[in-house]
Parts: sequence; structure tokens; C-alpha cells
Amino acid sequence: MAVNETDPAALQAQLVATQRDLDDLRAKLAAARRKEQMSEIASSILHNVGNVLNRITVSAVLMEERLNSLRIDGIGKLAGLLAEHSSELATFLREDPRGKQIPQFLQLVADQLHDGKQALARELAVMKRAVEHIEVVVASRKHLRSVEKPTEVELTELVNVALDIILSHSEAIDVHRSYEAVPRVTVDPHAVLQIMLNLISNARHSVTAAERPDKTLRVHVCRSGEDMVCIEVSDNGVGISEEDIERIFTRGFTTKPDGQGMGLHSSAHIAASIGGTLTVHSPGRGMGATFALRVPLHGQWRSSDDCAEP
Amino acid sequence: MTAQSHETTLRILVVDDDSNIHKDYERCFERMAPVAPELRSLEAELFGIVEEEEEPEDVEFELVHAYQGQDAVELVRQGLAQGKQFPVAFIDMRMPPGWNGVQTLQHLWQMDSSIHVVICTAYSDVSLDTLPSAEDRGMKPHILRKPFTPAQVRQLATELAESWRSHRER
Repeated sequence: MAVNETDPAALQAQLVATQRDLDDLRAKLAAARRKEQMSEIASSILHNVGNVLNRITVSAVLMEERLNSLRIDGIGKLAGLLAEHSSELATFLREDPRGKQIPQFLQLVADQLHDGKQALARELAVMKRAVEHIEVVVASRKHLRSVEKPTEVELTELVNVALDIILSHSEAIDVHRSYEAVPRVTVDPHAVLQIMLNLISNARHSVTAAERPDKTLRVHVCRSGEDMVCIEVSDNGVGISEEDIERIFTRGFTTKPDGQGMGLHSSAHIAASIGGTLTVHSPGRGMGATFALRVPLHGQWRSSDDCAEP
Repeated sequence: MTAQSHETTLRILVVDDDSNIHKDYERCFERMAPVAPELRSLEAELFGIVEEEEEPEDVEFELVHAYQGQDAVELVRQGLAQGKQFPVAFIDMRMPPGWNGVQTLQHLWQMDSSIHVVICTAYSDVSLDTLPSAEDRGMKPHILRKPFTPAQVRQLATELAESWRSHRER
């Protein structure tokens, strides 16, 4: 459209139209970003459930092998042998070379069945925990349905969902949850979930890399000032050096030789887009780290901010 | 290969970011205690059942664990330096935040192209055509789909270790 450059009204109209197009584009971008994050969350859940299914499959096969190894058949054969000698059972047991060995045989079978039973119970326990884990993850789906506007949620529930998705019950990490009573917040639940998944996954990798026996992850939820709720995720993993901590939210920053450096960068952006903040504290290398997400009680709908560069 | 024990103990590298999967691999190679020989001989005497003895497998596997691709490369480097190579590596496809399975495999093959690699994946979209091969030996990674069974893991480990050994002896 040709615009008369001297006509301020036309220029103004043009400006408004361009602004509208731009807003439109931003909204589309934001929506696309939300969709992409949903699919990241979904793929992280799928991977996790797949691993749990693996545990169940291995247990099922091992249980089958164990069941087949139980020496139960001998008991039936023994009953037959005893029946054959039922008319002179006492003599058979006392004097027959075969009969005399029956008590020892029964003892050995009992031992074998006892060991088998214990092994089966162990596998069954593994399987039960795995099934519970899948139940929890499946139950978390209600937090994943798409939302069109900020929704009132219990933050601790979202934290639990993220913990359940990333950490499974038998993982050798101690998880301490201390949740103070906090009001429900109105927020885009996927934004919080995405940040929590990122923080908990980082914490998990950090304690795993630290190779210490007492791997611990603490999550603390409390009120922060008048209008914020704070979620703190602490680990006793590899920690962060003083120089790294200044750059940790920078795009492309990573301590991994081939990491992408996108996780914390994008988490900080998402936090800003819901009107919250993401901060970090670490006493230094090898001394763990604490990340704190502050979420406003009445959050804004995630605008295009998370698409723009700072 | 100097020590005799190397002939019977084969090191398998397991690379996965999930400690539960490492446990699954361990469980796959756990052997059930054999039936007590006394019980077997009593069964034979009492009921005349003579079963074939289970053949003890002559190959022992030692599992070595890495949680990220970079750690795996370091272990392979150490193994080469100590003359304790890995015949087989099982590598998970998805290992955030570091390298994925294919990236890890490429780094491993740069150091030691004789390692037989099994890519373990829960995704159906990894096809053999898109996976790289070790150029000089025309080797392709094998695929193990999750959920896997102990029989699949044992069979892959045994066959690939066997092939690795015969290639070395040639």
C-alpha cells in the first residue's frame, strides 16, 4: 500500500496496522513456544515411563526364569514314591536306602524353594514400585492439558509432578520436601512445570556427577514477601564456581563440554515471562547449589517476552 | 591381552543417564545360583530323574557404568591406556543434558573403532539408515529397543563380544 508520507493520519493508521501485525506475530510465536515446551514435557514423560516399563519387563522375565527354576516337581514325585510304599512306610523310611534320604531331600527342596521365594519377592517389590511410579506419572496428566489463560494451581502439586517425572522411587537420591502453607497462585502451570523439570533434572545430574554416597535434593516451598511464592531446589552436587555463577543464565553457557547451555537460559526467560524471577546461589565448586524460583500470586499470561532476547 | 583372566572376563560399557537402567543391565547379567549338586543327585537317586547339567558359560561379563557420553569417552580412553578395551558398549539414545547416543557413539569410534555399539532407544523413529557407521570396518551400531529383556541383552553381549574376540585373534 502506497502511503502518502505527508499525511499524518495515514501514517498513523499504517503504524497501528503494523503494530497489530507485530502483536499478532508475537502472540503466535508465544503460542508456538508454549506448544514446543508441552512437547518437550511430553517427551520427557514418555522417556521416563519407558524406562520404568523397562524395569517391569526385566523383572517379569527374571520372575519367569526364577519360577521355572523352582524344584517343585520333586514334591509330587515324592508323594508318589511314598504311596508306592504305603503298606510298609515306616520300614521304607528307616531301612530302604532311598527312604532314608527323604528327610535330607525335603530339607534341600525346602531351602531351594525358600531362596526362590525370596528372590521372587524382591522382583515383585521392584515391580510394584515401578507400577506405582507409572500411576503417579499418569495421574500427572491433568497438569498437562492445555490452558488458554493463567490458571489457579497448587504450586506444591506441580513441584511433586516434576519430582515424580524426573526421579523414580528407587533412584539413590534422598529427596526432602518441606512445603510451608502457601496460597494458590494464578499462573501458566506449564511455565512452572517446565522450569521445575529443568531445575530438578539439573540437580539430579549434579548429584550424580558428584559421585558422593549421600546424594540429596531438597525442595522448599514458602511465601516470599506479600505477593510471591518461592520454590527452592537445592542439591549437594558439584556446585558452581564464583565466576560461573555470574554467567549461568546466559544463553549458551554450560559447564558440559558439549552441552547446549539452553536449559537455565530459557528457564530464566520463562520465569520473567510470568512475572517471576529465577536466582541461584552456590557456596562454590563441590558444594552444591540452590536455585530459587519466585512466582507471583497473580501472574501475568506469558507474553511474547520469552521469545525476545534480553 | 596378557593375563589369562582377560580371556574370560569381557568388559561391557553401559552408558545411560538413568541409574535404574544401569540396575536393569546388572540384573540382566545376574546369574541364578545353580541348583545344589546334592539336591540333583538325590533327585536322581530317588526318582531316577537325570537332567543335563546346565553348562556353565565360559564368558564372564564385567559391567562398567557411565552416566554421560563424556564419561564414557574417558572410560574408553583409560581402557585403551591400560590395555583393557571394551568389546561392547550399550548406549542410551537420549541423555540430557550432554551428548545423545549417536554423538557419544561417534566420539567413542574416533578413539576405538573396534567397539561394537548397541544404541538403546525407546523411540521408534531411529532407523538404522540414519545411524553412522565406522567407516574403516563398515560396522553399524545395533539397535536395542526399550523395554528390553534379559535374553536380548545377554544374546547381544555374547554374540558381539564373540565377534570382537574373533576379529582380534585374526
